Amino acid sequence: MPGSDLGGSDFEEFAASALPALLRFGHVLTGSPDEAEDLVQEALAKSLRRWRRVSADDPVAYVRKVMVNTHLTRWRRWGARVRVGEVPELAADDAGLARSQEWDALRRALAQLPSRQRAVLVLRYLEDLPDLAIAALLGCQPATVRSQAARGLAALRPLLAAGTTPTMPGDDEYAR
Amino acid sequence: MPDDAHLENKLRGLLRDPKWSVPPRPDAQARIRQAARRQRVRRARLTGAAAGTVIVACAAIIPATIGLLGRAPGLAGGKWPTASTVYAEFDAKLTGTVVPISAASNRPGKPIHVGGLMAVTPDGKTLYVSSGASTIPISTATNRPGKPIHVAGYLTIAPTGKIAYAAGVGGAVGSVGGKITPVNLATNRPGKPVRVCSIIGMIAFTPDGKTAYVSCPSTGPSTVIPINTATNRPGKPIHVGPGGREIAFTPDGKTAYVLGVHTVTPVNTATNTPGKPIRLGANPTALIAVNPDGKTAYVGTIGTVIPISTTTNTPGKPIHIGAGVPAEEMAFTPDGKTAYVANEEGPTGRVVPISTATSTVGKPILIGVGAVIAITPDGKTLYAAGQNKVVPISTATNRPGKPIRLPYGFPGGILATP
Repeated sequence: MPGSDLGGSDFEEFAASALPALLRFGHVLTGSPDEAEDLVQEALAKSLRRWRRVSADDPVAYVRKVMVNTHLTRWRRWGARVRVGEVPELAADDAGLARSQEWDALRRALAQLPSRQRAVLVLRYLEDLPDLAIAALLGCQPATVRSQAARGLAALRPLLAAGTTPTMPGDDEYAR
Repeated sequence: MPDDAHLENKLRGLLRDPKWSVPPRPDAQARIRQAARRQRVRRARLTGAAAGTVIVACAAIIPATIGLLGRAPGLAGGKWPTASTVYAEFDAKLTGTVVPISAASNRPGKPIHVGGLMAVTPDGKTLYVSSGASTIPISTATNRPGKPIHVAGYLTIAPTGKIAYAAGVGGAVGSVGGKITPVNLATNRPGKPVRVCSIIGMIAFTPDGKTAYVSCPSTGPSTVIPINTATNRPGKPIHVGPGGREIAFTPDGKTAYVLGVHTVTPVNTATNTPGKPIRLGANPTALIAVNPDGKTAYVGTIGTVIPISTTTNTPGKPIHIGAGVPAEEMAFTPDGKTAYVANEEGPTGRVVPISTATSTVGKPILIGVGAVIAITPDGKTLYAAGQNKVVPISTATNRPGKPIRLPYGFPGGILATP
């Protein structure tokens, strides 16, 4: 009865220690802190319900997989829903300001990417997963992962290639 | 032109920027467990709901209007001698399992292998069990599941019993694109979805059923959108405090209380204007409920329940229910004299009686791993579902009766038909 695996203190410990990283992962994946919360909650709830099985393997990988798949099913694109108003205050010093602008530009640019491309980039460059693992997670061929990553990187190139004072390319430039 | 390795490293750095971090909510674990209980059907591509407890609890405390008779094997004449049937939902089987229990004999009937959030019509004739991808109507006379209604999300039934709104409360499938779907309960046919907001937190109908309030929680200032249930048209958003999600109405329907992450915002339902937010001074759980006497609203926190006077909208002294025990569910006797608070999480599932006149706490009734509660319409018995059991508790003595053993795993919800 997998549904009865309602965990114990080991789940509590796991959730408490993994939450910050999962929330950050969810934020990068979805672009919204609210949606990150919902996604993490849903994925952890799913994991909790089959905790005995999940905990025997790699629980972080499992939760991440649930998050990605849930997200990909849920949202086709979310670019239009990014709330610019939620960008935190810019840092006072110049380097901090530039970094903050870069971060914001990246956030907008990611928002313009198709969700699978974005998921590939996040898994590859934030979670540092090998292409083979990403392919298994997304249920596609490693070659597809490579091509998606290449396209994603190409789309981000103008942003990433800019210096410490980045120009802010218009959204159109990234639109497909 | 920088090479790819340089670009990749820069991307790695930007993806690790501290700005991506999201602080975990203090009650995150409780919310996860609540969501876990409400995820039932694996076939559904997406399931889950954070809120909804209050809806179920409210459905369970609607005063009796019509007697209801269900069949139970082994009972003389095959009928329950009294009006109410208690439905407890457990996580057994892949689908979940709903067990009808006669409130008269405390005997369980044949389990129904469907699962999800339960809601019952005000006349008590139909139980709806929503699994996220579809909703199954069950006649409470026969306890037989009917034809599934293919509507995404969970049903919230209007007090008129004529319509329900479906949405994936708490970020499940129905809230994608923030739409709610009206369902005609006479025909069980879904209508045209109505776009409300990007994330739907909860749907609550005013007691007269004329308006539905849909909360749109966000980490920043949030809104509640009133929907005219005659036209299904959304009105002007009402601004409430950050994270405003759970909604509870006073019995006269004049005030809606919207619970956020630090505050409760009272909303005048005649004008749809928010009042001054009430600061809680503690992090709330997802519980807000108003006493049937209309005098007090209660907000759950971890370890306490905070009473709020509905006349002055000021919080009173927190009522302590046990260190580390999150107040997550509440049910009232119909006269409003006793409130029962239960926790699904925390050290031990328990039911704590509170005398509402004096805010004094009675002896906790320990249930085991977690507890969900419902009270019969006559107010005589409180049912607390725990793992593999339902415990009837006499509201006269606050003593538990013989547990009803149900080997169906962990409870997801419980309600008593009107």
